[in-house]
Amino acid sequence: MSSDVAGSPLAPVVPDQPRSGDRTPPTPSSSEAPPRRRGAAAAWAGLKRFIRTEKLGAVSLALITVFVVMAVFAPLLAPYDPLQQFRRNLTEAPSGTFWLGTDDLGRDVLSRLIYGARSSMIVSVVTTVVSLVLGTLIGVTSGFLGKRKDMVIQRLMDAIQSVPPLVLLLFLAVVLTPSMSSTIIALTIVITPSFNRVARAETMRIREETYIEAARATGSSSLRTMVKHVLPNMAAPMMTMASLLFAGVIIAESALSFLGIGTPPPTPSWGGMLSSGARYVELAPWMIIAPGLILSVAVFAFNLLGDALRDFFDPRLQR
Amino acid sequence: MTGTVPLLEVTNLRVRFPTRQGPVEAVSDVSFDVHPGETVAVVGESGSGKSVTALAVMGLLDSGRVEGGSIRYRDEDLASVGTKRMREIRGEEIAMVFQNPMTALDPLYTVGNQIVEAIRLHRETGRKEAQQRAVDLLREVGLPDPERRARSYPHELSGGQQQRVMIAIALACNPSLLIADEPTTALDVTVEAQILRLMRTLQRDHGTAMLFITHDMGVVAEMADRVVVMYAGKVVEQGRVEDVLNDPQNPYTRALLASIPSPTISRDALMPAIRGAVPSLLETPSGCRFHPRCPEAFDRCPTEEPPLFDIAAGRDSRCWLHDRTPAGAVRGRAAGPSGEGASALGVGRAG
Repeated sequence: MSSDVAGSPLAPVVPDQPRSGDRTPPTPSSSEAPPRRRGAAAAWAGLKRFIRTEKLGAVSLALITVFVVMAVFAPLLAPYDPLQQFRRNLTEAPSGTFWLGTDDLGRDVLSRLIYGARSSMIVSVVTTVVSLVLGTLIGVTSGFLGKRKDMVIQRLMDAIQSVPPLVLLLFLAVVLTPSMSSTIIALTIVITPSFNRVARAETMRIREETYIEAARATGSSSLRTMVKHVLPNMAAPMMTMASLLFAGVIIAESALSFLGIGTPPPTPSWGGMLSSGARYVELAPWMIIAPGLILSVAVFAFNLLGDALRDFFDPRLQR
Repeated sequence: MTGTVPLLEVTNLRVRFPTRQGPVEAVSDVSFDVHPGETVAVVGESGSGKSVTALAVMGLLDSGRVEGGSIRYRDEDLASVGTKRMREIRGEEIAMVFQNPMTALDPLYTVGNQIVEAIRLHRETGRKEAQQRAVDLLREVGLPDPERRARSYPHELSGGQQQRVMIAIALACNPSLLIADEPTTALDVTVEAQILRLMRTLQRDHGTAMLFITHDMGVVAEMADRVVVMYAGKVVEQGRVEDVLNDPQNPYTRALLASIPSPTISRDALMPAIRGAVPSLLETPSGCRFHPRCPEAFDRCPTEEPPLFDIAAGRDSRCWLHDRTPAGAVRGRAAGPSGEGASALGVGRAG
């Protein structure tokens, strides 16, 4: 991966000459080191730089903003109540009245799509973030402890992963009552081991790096070394992993809805719309095309964002 | 040198590593000291235990354990001070420069930031002040345009510049002892000379003592006041650099010096080298650990381990050739072809 290129000794060593120094924009030579802004100002500056340097990232950010706006302002944006059934307009094709058509129960597809953003976004974002944090915590701890404790933790994770996800989800469906929080819990259990695995592998790699030894040699404590050097250095692969798994979560959420432990009907969710629409593919293809498209776009947007974030946080790739 | 109190005093140090094949003693019974302001070089081939010795002093052994002996720094035993005190000592009292500067800097932080970190770990300094000090340090280690360099990421610097930054980090808190673990091995020769010169200058200016780990006799000659030669985890010879290099007493040191390629050697001739390889620590040879490769080995070498013989003031060598007791005198043949050493030996034994 990119992270290996810059550190490789293949780069030509010109005796004590700046290698790429000339490419850095000349900054006014003041005697003070880099100005560091804090808090909101720093975040805003970072965001502006992100949009400037990562064009695709900016696009994905815009798309995600659209989804978030959709989810938050659903009642204002949706033309109809997503549960209202227009009995006389069952499976009606897209028209001026129903922009994306109606489903088999006569509900407006567009309104359901907009409201569906709520459950889909909440479930996938919360699941991904919680598993990312949990998996990283477990993986880093395991990788740092090593030896027997590492063995125990990893076999436990393997045990979870050895069960086919669908079977595990079915089991959880029996144990938990169908609700949004059960969906999140179930998916978190399924996905956390993947994050754990990457986090542990990265920890094992990074702890052998000389800069970790060097940090300890300057008197940095283990916790400090972990927070300041280990975690930031594994951010890039974790970010990629998160964007990949996010896509999986969106799809899994629809699978769960189909199985009956996802978002319970009649609450609209993209997954639920897909599964109910699947039965009417020939009769009313719009029922499946709209949620299918928006799902793909969402997955795509988050993948793009993942890539862009990874590049953004790697100073070696900065242009 | 003998008058002052040693800054660092390593006595009978033993370091063991657990392996699948059983415990391995990487450092056995190593003793040496470093006095304030002086440079002591530890030389040896790969696997001689020199880096492990350095890491043991820093308390940075990962899986290895100090099994015996003591490491005294001023009036504390580093092997038993506890992690908290050890953290204070690291960076503040004893700093370290590593072999490969390309990987010793965290790629995610600017070099200025990394120096600031090192300062603020030990000093109650404001960020601004620490940044100013970072720039000053970068200037001191000879980086051009230090204000801008402070904002550079490690990958934007060349190997030599990175090593300068490492030195700046090491010097950030004005340590009394600097441990340099082959600091120039990864650099090319011209840069190596610059870095060595820089380290000498800084050492003189700051009065820092230095423990210099290397496998390069040329570097030893250039940098050190005293030298400790290690082989397979043991000290085989130590003394003042001029003495050891001009008049090596131990066959291993002689062999090591003889394997420095000289420009006068014919291109077709074989490069001088010590035959064989450093023994695996899992199966150290009986008796003297060097005997299977030693050109001067005799019947006593494989059976008994030689002690360190005190052959002159501040001069030790671990070899049965120095044994002047009747048991040792049985041995007739004088040491090999290396003229000076052999004659010196002859004189030593006659007296």
